[in-house]
Amino acid sequence: MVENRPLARALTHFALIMGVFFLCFPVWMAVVASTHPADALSRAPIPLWFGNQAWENYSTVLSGGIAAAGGVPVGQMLWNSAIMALAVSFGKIAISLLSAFAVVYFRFPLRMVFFWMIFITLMLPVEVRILPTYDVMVNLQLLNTWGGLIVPLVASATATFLFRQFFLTIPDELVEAARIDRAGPMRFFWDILLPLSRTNIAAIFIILFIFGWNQYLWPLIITTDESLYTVVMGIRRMMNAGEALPVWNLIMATAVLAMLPPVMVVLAMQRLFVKGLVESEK
Amino acid sequence: MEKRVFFRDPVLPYLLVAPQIVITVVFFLWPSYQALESALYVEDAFGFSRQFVGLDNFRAIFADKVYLRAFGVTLVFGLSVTVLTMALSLGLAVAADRVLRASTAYRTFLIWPYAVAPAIAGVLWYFMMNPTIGIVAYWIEALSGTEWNHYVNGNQALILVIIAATWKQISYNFLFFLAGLQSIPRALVEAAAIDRAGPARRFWTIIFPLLAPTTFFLLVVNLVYAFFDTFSLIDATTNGGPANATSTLVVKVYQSGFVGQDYGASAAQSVVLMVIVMAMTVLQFRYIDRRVNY
Amino acid sequence: MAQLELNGLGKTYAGGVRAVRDIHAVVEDGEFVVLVGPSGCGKSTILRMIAGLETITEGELRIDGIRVNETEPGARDIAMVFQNYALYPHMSVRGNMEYGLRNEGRPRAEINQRIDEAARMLQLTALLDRQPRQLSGGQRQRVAMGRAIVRNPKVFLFDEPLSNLDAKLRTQLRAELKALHRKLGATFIYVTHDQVEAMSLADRIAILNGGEIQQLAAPLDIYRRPANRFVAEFIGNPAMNILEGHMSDDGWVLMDQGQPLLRLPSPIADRAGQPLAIGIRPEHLHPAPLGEGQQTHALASLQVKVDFTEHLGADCIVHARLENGATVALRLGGNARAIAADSPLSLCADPADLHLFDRQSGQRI
Repeated sequence: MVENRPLARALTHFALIMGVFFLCFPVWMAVVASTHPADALSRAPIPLWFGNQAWENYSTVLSGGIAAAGGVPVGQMLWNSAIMALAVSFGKIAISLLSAFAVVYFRFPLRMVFFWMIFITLMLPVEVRILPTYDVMVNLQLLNTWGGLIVPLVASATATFLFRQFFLTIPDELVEAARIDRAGPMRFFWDILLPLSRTNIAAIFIILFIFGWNQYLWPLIITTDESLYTVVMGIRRMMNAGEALPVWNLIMATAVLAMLPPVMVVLAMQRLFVKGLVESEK
Repeated sequence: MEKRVFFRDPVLPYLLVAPQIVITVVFFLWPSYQALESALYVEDAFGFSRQFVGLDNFRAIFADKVYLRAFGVTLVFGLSVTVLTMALSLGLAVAADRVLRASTAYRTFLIWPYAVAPAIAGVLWYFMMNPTIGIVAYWIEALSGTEWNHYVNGNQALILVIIAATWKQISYNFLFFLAGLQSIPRALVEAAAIDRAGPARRFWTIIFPLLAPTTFFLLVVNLVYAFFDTFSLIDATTNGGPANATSTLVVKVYQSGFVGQDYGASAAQSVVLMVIVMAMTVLQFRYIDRRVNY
Repeated sequence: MAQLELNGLGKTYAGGVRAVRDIHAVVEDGEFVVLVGPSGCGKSTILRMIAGLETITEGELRIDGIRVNETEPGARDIAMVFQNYALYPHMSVRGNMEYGLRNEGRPRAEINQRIDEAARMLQLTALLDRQPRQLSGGQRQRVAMGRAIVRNPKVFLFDEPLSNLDAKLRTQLRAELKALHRKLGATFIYVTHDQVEAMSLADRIAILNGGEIQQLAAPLDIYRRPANRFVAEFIGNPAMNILEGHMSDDGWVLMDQGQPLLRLPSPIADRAGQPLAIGIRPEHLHPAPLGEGQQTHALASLQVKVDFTEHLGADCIVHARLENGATVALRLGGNARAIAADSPLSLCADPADLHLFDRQSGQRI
C-alpha cells in the first residue's frame, strides 16, 4: 500500500496468521487425533500433539475399515472415489468440449434451444429433484452401478460455458486458415482447437475433480452396495455407526485420507487452479 | 457474441451436442418435470393410484409448522454463513493484498479448504466441538463456563454447522476478493492518497465501491452454497437435529422424500426450491450483464 | 496457374445488407490484381468469396472455367495470407507450413522437399523449428507466405498482409512480394487500403466503393484517366483538386462564379450549360506564366491566395484558396522557395491535364 507503517504491517500479518490458524487448526487436530489410540481420545482435554499410533490407525482403516460401520476398507472407498472423480471430470470435459464446439462453430436449427437446455441445468441441482431423479435411476436400473454413479453427473453447464467463452476468443482467421488447409470440422477440433485449449482443460479439470471427489448426496442415494461406497459419503456411516460411540481416531484418519487427494491437487496446481476458478465463474 | 465464421454440416452438430442433451433431458429436465407434475397429485402409499389435488400439496407444506421452521432455519443459516464468510474473507484478502510479496505464501495456506468436501468439513468441526472430547467445546466451557452440548441444544447445533460451513467457504471468497483487489489499478489508490484520503477512507470510498461487482457475485454464490451445497455438511453431522433445529429446506426435502416417502409433499418442496434457485440464477446473470458495462 | 472469372458476383447478408454487387472481372493467368478502396467498400468480402470463406449470394465464380461457388475452401486450390497471419500458435514454423499438405495426404518426401524449397525462397530455413511466438512480425508474415507457397495453389489471395508491419518493413516486403510474384508466375489477388501498395504492386487495380468496382485498369491508366470523380480523388496524394464549374456554349469551361477557366480544343456541344467538376492533379498546376506556346490554351487566370506551404524534401506542396473559398494544392519541386502566406498567385495548367466529370453522375466526360 501507499504508507509504510510498521504497526499496520504487524497488524496485517497478525490478521493473516489468525486466518491461517482458523483454517488449519481443525486439520491439525484431525491429523493429531489420527495418530493416537482410541482411549487417548475418550476424555477431555485431548492431546494437541502427535501420538505414536499413526501406522496402526491408518493401516486399520485402509484395509479393514471400522468394524461397527460394516468394515468397508477405506482403501477401497478411496479407490472408488478416485474412479468416480476421474470419470466424472473427464466425462464432463469431453462432453462440454463437444457441445461448446457445436454451439460456437456451427449454425444449425435448434442451436439456441440446446444452449438454453444446457443453461437450465444450472438451476436444477440434485437437491431439488432428488426423488424423481431417483425414480429415473430405478427405472433405468442404474442403482448400484458405476454408470448410475457417473453418467448423470457428466452434464456440465459450467464447463460448457467456460469452453464456449474460450472458443469465442480464438481468432476467426485460424478457422479460415484451417479450412483453406483442407481441415474439416473434426480435424480442426483435434488439430487446433484441442491443443489450444490445453491450459483451460487443465484448469477446469482441477475444479471438476474436486467436484467429483466431494460428491455426497448422489452416491448416498444411488449406492447401497458397499463395494461402491465413496469415501466422502462413507465417513457418514462411520459417524452414525449404530449405538456404538464414534471411533474418533479412525474416523479422523479416514477424514485425513478423504481430504488428501483433492487438497494435494489444489496445492500442486495452485496457479492453474486459481486461474480456472476465477475465470470459470466470470 | 457470435462467431463470424462457422462450419456447415447437416448432422455433425447434433451428434456433438447429443451426449450433453441426452443426459440433460433424462436426468435433469424429465425428473424436474416429474417433480412439477407430482406436486399437483396425491399418491397412495403403494404408488398404485394418484389423484389430482391442484395446489393442495403447497397449501399443506405451508401450513406445516415444521416446514415453516425449516424456512426460518435456512434463512438464519444462509445469512449467517454469507455474512460471516464475506466479512472474514474480505478482511483476509485486504490483508493479503497489503503484504504484497508474502501474499502468495499466505494464499497457499488460505485456499486449500476449498478442496475439502462440505461433509468432511462438518466432520472436522463435529469432532472439534464434540461435548465430551472436542477441544473447542472444552475451551468454551473452560473460558466462559457455558455448557456446550449441540446434541441437545438446538442453537448450539446451528452455530456448529454455521461455523463449519463458513470455514469451508472462506477460501473461495478469499480468492475472488483477492483477484478483485488486485485488479484495482494501483494508480487510483495512489491518487486518493495524494488527495489526502487515509487508508480507512480510501478503503470505503475507492476500494469497496470498485469491489461491488465481486461482492454482489459472491453474495449470490454464498447464498446458493448455504441453501443447497451444505446438505451434506448437515446430513453428515447433526442430521437436521436436534428437534429440526438445523433442518434447512434441502434437508427437509430429502427427509420428506426418502425418509418419509411422501411424494406429493417432497415434490411441492422441490418446486419451491426450484423457484428459489431460479430467482438466484436470474439475479446472478442479470448482474453479469451489468458487469459488461461496468 | 489459373484464370479467374467473376460473373456478376454479389453478396447480400442475412440482414439484407448488400455488401457487394454485380462484380464482373476476369483475372488472367499469372496476373497480379489489387483490390483497393476505403474501409467497408467490399474488397475483403470479394476476396473471402473467392476463398470460399463467405458464401456467394449472387453471380458466379469460375476458376479455370469451372464453377466453384459451392466448392469448399480447401478444395478450390487457393491459398490465403491473412492480415494477422493466422499462424497456428501451437505448431512450429514447419508444422504450420506442412499442415495443409498433410491434410491432403501428400507423401512425406514431397512435403519436406516443398518446405525446403519455400523456406529457402523466403529465408526461413533457420527458423523452421521455431514457434510463431518466437518470431518477429516480418518473420511471421514470411511464414504465412511460406504456408501459401508450399501448397502450390492456382491462386494466391492476400488480405492486407502488410498492414500490421511498420513502414520500413512494409516497403521491404513489398519489394519481396513483387519479386515473389515474378518468380512464381502465379495469379495473385491482393486486398489493401493503401494506394501506394496498389500502385506499386499491381498489374491491374480494381478500385471499389460501395460494393461496386469503380474502375479496373492498369495503375497508370487509373492515375492518368480516372473513370470517375471517386477514383480521381481516391488515387493520388495530395488528392486531385476538384473545382466546380459548367460548360459554356462556345467551349469555354466556366467557374461557377462566371469566371472563364479555359478553352477546350474542341467544345463538347451537347454538354453546353451543364454543371461540371473539373479535376487537376497538384503536379499539373503551375505558377504562371507558362511558356509562349501554351499560353493560348492555358488556364485563364486562376487567381489564388496562398494558405501555407509544406516542404517535404523532395516535394513542396503549396495549399491555396480561390476567391470562392475552394482550396487547391499544387506540387512544386523540392527546390521551390516557400511562398509567404496570403501572397497572391496565378496558376495555369495544360488543358490536356484536365479531367472533366459530370457533376451529377461523377462520370468522366
